[in-house]
Amino acid sequence: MILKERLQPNPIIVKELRSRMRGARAFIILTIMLLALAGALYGIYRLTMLSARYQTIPGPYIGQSLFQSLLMLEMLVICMLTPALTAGAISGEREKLTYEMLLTTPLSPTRILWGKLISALSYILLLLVAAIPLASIVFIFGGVTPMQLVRSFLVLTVVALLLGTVGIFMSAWLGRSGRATVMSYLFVLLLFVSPIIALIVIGVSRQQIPPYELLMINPLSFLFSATLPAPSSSGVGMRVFNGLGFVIAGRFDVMEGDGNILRPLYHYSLPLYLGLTLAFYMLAAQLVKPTRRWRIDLRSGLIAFVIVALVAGSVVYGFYSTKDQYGYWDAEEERFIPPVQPEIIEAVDLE
Amino acid sequence: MNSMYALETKNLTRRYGKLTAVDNLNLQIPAGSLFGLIGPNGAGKTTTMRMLAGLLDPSEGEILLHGESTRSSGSRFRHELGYMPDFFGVYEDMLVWEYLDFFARCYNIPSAQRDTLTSELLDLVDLADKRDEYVEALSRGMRQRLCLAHALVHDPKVLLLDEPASGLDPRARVEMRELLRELGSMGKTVIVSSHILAELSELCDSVGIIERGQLVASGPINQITTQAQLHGQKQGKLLRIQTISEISSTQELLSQMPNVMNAIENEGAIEIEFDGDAEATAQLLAQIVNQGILVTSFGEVSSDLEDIFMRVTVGNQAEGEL
Repeated sequence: MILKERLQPNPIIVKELRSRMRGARAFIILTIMLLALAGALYGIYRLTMLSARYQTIPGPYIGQSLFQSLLMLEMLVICMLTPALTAGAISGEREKLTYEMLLTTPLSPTRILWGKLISALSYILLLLVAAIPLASIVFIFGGVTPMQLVRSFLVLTVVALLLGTVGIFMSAWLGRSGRATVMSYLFVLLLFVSPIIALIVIGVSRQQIPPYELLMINPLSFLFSATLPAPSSSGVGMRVFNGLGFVIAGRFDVMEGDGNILRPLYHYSLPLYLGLTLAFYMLAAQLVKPTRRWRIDLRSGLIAFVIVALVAGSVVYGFYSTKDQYGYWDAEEERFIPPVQPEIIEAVDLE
Repeated sequence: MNSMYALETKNLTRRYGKLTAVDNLNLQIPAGSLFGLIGPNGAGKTTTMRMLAGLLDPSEGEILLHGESTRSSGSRFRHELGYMPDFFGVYEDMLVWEYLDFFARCYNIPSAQRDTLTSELLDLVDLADKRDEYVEALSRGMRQRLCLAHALVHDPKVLLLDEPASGLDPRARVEMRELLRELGSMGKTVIVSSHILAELSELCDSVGIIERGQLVASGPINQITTQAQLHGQKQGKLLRIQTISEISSTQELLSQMPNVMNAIENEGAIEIEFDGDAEATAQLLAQIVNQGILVTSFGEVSSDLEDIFMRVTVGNQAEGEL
């Protein structure tokens, strides 16, 4: 009986999808997004071809730069859409005065939360999946492996998952859709900007190349570190991004070219993002309860503990088992930027 | 354990900071009854209803549903309770049948039954012809009925309706009343809160009057009436006499009669407060007729709920202010 209940589709998902996918709106949004992506992609293609007039650009480089641009655009779409889709999830029900009606049903708050999260994410996923044919154009030029495509898709999904959870958490916490939306976008902004500010502050104040691991917070760094092609022996990156992609991805090693391969950023980003998702989810699960919010019963406490232990365990195991593959940047010595000595230029008699 | 009471509260108390919204409330609502919870705005009706529905934790005390504490029964009690909040929302971007279908899914009703259930409920609340319309397009009265239907999808034994008639026009109000009667005849225990008293006096078989979080009076309506009469400052009964003789002289005459406490003119008739039994009443009539007054109607104004309510609450307020 209980299993049978579990197997029924979550009512919230059914309801949300019914109202979201009804009529032309959803499909118009999808079409507009695909058209915009295609247009942007075409523009970048023309730009690359323009620069090909002055230098030889191998096909794979064109493929790579198109691929990275597409991913960046998709990341921006996710960062802009996900908070909008989820920040009203719980607070919207409260504002519409339907939340109490939901809570008096046997539908558990956790299922409400899941339903909201999955229905919002499924829309995002639909946008991502719809853009896959667009991404496959890069295979004409080559330079991108299917594995990279899969990996990029996974990274985008993980970012969407975190932003979705944060949106719902804000919605449950703040109770007003307006505030929740603002706070969710602030969170997104913080993800993008805070590592860069930290890098600048540390770099300037300590006169060192700052620890590249800080960049793991940035979604674009996460994405690029997981999807950039392996640097060639000559250390040449992509033409259009001209190394900028590698900087964003925290691949300072490529620029240094000292052959010491650092652990890719996404090894840090993935556990960070999943961990944050889990934390925000657990907080939200407490906040959606109508009564006895912070009283955690033994069963759910145990489940939470097991999940946290599993995640933490696999992260530790992953890091431990691959520790020999990557070098470490010896901080003090190599990161030190020698102070610029003022040079005294002797006057040269031009005559 | 089974109890004769569908719903019982024991010393139910809810505090918001210093304010005690509900204070040691002891309600006993027999199974199958139509119970009215009456009180002025801010008396604690909604707080009580929300606690009964499990949306609010009591600060103290407990709630027994069919003799079993709701605290210990987990989410099982949700299957036996239907709740309609005073301010309710509807999902405006849904169709009427989808709305009910959604709540039926929430109660894990198998898909095979959902269709017939939805149709039956729409028939019951007289919305069958609106089945495929957007909830948005419904009038307030229709929404209210739809909301009532949503509270019935799981066939609950106990229904909690918080101000079901508020904001309705007279016609919709009558329809709502008919609907509640029908539910009562289906054997459900219905608990209605309201400050519209005339409604409840016709609808309910027992009432509880709540004032400042405390239960002032509770029981079957006729019992309450006597209780309130004892409680109120006014004694005796109200007689209404209509004559075609001149009113002022009749009034003067009446006020000199024995047992008459005062006589006032009201809407072309004379109302007197009379302190006497049935025989004295008959004598009074005989006397005024003998005096040559042409009486067209003579009768006791039954003191209705509103009247009782006013007496009880005003009395308390006066005490409170002293």
